Amino acid sequence: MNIRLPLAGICVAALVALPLPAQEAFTSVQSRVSEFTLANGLKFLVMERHQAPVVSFYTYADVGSAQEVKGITGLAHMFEHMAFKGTDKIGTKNYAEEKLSLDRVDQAFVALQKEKSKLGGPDKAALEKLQKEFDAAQEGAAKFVVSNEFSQIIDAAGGRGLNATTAADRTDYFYSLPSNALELWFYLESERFLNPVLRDFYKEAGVVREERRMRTENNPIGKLLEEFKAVAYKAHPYGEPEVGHMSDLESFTRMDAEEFFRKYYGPSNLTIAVVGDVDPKRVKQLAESYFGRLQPREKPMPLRTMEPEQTVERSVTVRAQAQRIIVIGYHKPSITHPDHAVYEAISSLLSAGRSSRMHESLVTKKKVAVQAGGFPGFPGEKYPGLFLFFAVTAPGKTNEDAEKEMMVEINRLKDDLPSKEELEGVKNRARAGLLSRMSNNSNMAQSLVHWQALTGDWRNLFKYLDRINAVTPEDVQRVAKATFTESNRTTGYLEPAPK
Amino acid sequence: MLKKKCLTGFLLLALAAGAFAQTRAQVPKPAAVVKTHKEIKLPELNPITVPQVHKHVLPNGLTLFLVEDPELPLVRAQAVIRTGERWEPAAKAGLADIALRVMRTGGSTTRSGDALDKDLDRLSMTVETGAGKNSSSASIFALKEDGEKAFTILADLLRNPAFPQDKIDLAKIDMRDSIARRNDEPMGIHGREQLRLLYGKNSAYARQMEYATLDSITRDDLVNFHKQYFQPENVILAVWGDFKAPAMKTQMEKVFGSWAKGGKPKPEAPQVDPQVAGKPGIYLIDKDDVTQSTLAMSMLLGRRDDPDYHAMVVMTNVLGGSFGSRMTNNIRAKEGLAYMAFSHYAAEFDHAGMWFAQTGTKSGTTIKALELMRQEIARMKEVEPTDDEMSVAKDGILRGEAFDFDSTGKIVGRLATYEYYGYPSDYLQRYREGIKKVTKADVLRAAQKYLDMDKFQILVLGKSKDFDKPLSSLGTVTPVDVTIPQPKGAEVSAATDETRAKGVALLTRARQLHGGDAIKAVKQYQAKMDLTMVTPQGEMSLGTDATVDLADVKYLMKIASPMGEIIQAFDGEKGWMKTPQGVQDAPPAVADQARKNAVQDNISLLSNFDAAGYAVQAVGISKLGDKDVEGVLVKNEALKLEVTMLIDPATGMLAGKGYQGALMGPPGALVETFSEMRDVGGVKLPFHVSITNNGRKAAEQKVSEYKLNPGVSDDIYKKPQ
Repeated sequence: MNIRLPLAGICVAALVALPLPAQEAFTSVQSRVSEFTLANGLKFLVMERHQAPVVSFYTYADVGSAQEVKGITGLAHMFEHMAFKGTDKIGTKNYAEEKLSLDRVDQAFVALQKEKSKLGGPDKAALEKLQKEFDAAQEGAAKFVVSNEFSQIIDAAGGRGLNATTAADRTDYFYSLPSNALELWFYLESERFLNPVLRDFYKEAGVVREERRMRTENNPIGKLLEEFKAVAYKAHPYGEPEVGHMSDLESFTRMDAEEFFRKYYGPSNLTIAVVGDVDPKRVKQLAESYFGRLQPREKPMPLRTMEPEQTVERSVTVRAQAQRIIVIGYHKPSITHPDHAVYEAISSLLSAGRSSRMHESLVTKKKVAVQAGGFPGFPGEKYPGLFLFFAVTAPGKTNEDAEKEMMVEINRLKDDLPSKEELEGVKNRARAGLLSRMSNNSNMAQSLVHWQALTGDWRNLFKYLDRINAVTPEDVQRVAKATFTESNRTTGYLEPAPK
Repeated sequence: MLKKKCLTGFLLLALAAGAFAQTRAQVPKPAAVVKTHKEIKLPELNPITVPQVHKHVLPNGLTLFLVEDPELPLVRAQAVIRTGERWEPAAKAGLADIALRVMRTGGSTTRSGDALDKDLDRLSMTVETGAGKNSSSASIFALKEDGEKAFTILADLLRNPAFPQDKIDLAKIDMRDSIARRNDEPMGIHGREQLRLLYGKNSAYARQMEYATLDSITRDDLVNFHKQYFQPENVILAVWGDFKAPAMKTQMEKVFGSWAKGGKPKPEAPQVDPQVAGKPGIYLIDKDDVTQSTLAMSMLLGRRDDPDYHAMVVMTNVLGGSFGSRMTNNIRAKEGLAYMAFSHYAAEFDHAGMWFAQTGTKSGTTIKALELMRQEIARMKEVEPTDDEMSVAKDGILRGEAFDFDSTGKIVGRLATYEYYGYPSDYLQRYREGIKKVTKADVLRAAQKYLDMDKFQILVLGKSKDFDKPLSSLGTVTPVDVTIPQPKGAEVSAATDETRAKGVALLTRARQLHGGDAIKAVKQYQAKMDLTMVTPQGEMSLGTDATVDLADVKYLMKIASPMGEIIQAFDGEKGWMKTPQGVQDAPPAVADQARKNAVQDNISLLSNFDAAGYAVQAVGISKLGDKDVEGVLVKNEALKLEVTMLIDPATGMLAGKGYQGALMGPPGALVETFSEMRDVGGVKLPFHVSITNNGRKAAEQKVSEYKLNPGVSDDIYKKPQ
């Protein structure tokens, strides 16, 4: 890195910078956001922020575990892992030969799986032979692999925060770079979705199975939420675990993942935000050159299955070597529904701060819980999700004690109008919350891209404040009455199991 | 375009590693697509602008760092306060935490905590205080127009906390809850026990709060803690946001200037005592409900000013510091054995830190993963790392310097931390220089010096039954007991003459009503009953037959279970049990429960409460179901007895009793409710008992027959040979 002495010239900009009140800050931020869509349908959002010579990138793929069907549960997340394995140029010593060896691994895996599920059970000798062949094929392919080259290139360029997450609604890929490495990101990210090579697939499936063991099977809260979703949903894929079922993780194939990629990673299904020390014109140039190479593909058909209206109350109890927790969920509409801001306002009333309703009642006064609150959008917001209430039950109290007080607060929303002062707090907190996100490139990139992809316009991130400001006490009551009904309720209990 | 402050006149210290350039990079010509990443030419990086940091020490000793950051209309602050958990008395573990919580939730002598909650939530302002291990903190987030209000509140809380009892009690509920939940999550258990094994469980850096230490904390302790540590000399306050530094300085003088100097000595960092630190070896937390093991190898390692610090940082990165490191490559990527495989050097500024390598894998590959990890550690000592490995390990630290300056909070927070530990303000730059200088030979030398296989603590948490090989195949295994020492019953104030007398009166009357001398005449009795247990699978009924020897504390219970007869017994000294699988010594918990059944038997208690060794005190009215009952706490230290007898004030007779115990499940607060009192040979005994555990129905006993003094031979209590 070139280090030079400071010169007086760069001070000029600082002298003209003036402090701005909140509304002006929002206007200023919006004026620094630009957008363009490539001919192949890929949408870019660019926000200039020149505080430091760094830039954050967020790639939003409009595909999540909700796009999976039985047999390939966990595949969206599995693909996310595979997107770090490199391309035909990165992560390989000789791709032409590696390609053949990868095909051999697939064939050996399929042969092994067929034997395993043979009618009348597998033949022991055949199974051993096929296992050996599979191991040998994997070893053969491993010879060509340069492990983790993709992430090493990013590390070597001074990258930070390299990661990805898969949720029910979406898959996010993100990291930050010094701003002079802008083109490197364009190269790597476009290659990643142009020529991904899903090498080490079956080994990585082992890694993902360990992730499932860590986050779900050996984590009581993870277990509770998996079981809870399975009961709250009977049709919609929101009821399935994002990480997938163990049997699928043991048997889906590289071909499944490639098919999934072809279907869901077309450019029209991607949205990208770039926030930081960049020139939007340069970003557009590079985008056209690098991402213009992605062949246009039809946007996938929308998800067909809709969750039928819940007409009976449901509940589930998980017993584990753990202390009590209770969750109560009610089905609600998606983020694009006009009442979205009302649900957010209810969440803020109930759970933001120590004076919020649920904290004050359950934690401070009744002492039946040590934490309590409620929020919309579980497990996602793109499709109708749940408004989820939760309480971490206090020692010596039962989940029923907590549930009783939760119901008091839920019913209060239906019976009495919230005060003007309460709603005033909701509005102030929404404004401050947005302000606090704006001083961080990565947070801003994430917010912009999410609002764009989920609602069709990043400006809704800011318009949302107006919508929160428009929420009336009557709105809160109306929405609470319509949503928080007995037959729309699912309750999940985590109870301590005997040792 | 918005730029940070001018570069004239700022503190040299803030220049730490700052890089500046004269002009912005030119926009290149339309982009041609490169064939490989190596073809990409990086243009010169735009200048890193370091904001001017204004440091002031107020006459009372409070240190200020002020930075103007006009990007958003906010004021933010972060204080480092010279106090923390490492200075609290061991017997009061939890004191710093509770003091810093209640400092905020309890408000000040003139400002109620509840009103503060409402005010701050409505304005969407944050003022918080919290304790850490090495230091404590306070923070502010406010719209700029609310800034002065926020600082006024913070100063008031730091100087005049009210510490009201109700908020202390509320904080204790939450802290009790955290004790109760500390064994819920395997990685949490592993991390905690690793720390305790390494530093020693009584170390200032590893001791943990228990029910007993929490219960012993009083409001006076909080008041004294506050007096001891909350003085302006112990506060370093970093403030940044949309203000002018001179105006903010004036505001700080106004808000904090009248806080008088405390003059108490600065607390010194406790050093890690090798005498109390744990020994090397293999340790096992056997947990039968997990499918994945967590395993780590750990040791104590030097401070950030240690001459070998930089070499060890690079070494740690080569081994398991990034996606490209050896552990990630060989345990995660190549073998697919783990989601997590990494090494970490948690170096500290003023005392020894913790170094560890960790992974997690399914039970059936536990030993394989552990052996792989050992191999990787051993390999570090054999040959120098490659050039590639060196550059990957260093790149992660040295590249991306701009990220050290991408937020004002980060820059000023770092300076406050260095100030707190007495490190030079250009420490970041020195650190980077140190890392740059590390050679391959340095890494090898450091690995050989510190990675001594005989000095590691290996801690495995998992279901040992399902391991691929016994852990003991690697050496002697020491089991680690993670049982949570159980809470005492509800907090009881110290006995007074009055409460003692009342307790004795209540029990004397109860003894009279239950049979008087007839009670005292019972030396042994038998009870036949149907016991209904509430289990996760539903209710389960068992026929049982108990024989209790009150004089010699012997106990025998026969249970007719679907699998055959089960016996649990206590012979006066030891417990044993008989199951269809044979006879064996009872596990300590079962033996103790059997013994307890004898010493806290109703007849025994009514007979003996006024004998030597017993202490009795009335503890007031409480609820049993929906009935008010008088509680009398009966204790006998020699017998490890602590039980609260519950007396119906209307009849004067026993209505129930409460105690800590286990009933086919985790230990908890057990409460028995008596009904169907009937006469048996002049003694009134309950024929129906229902039992709750932590408030939930746990069991029910229906007695069909009591036999008093049946004259059963002592032999029945003896363990069959």
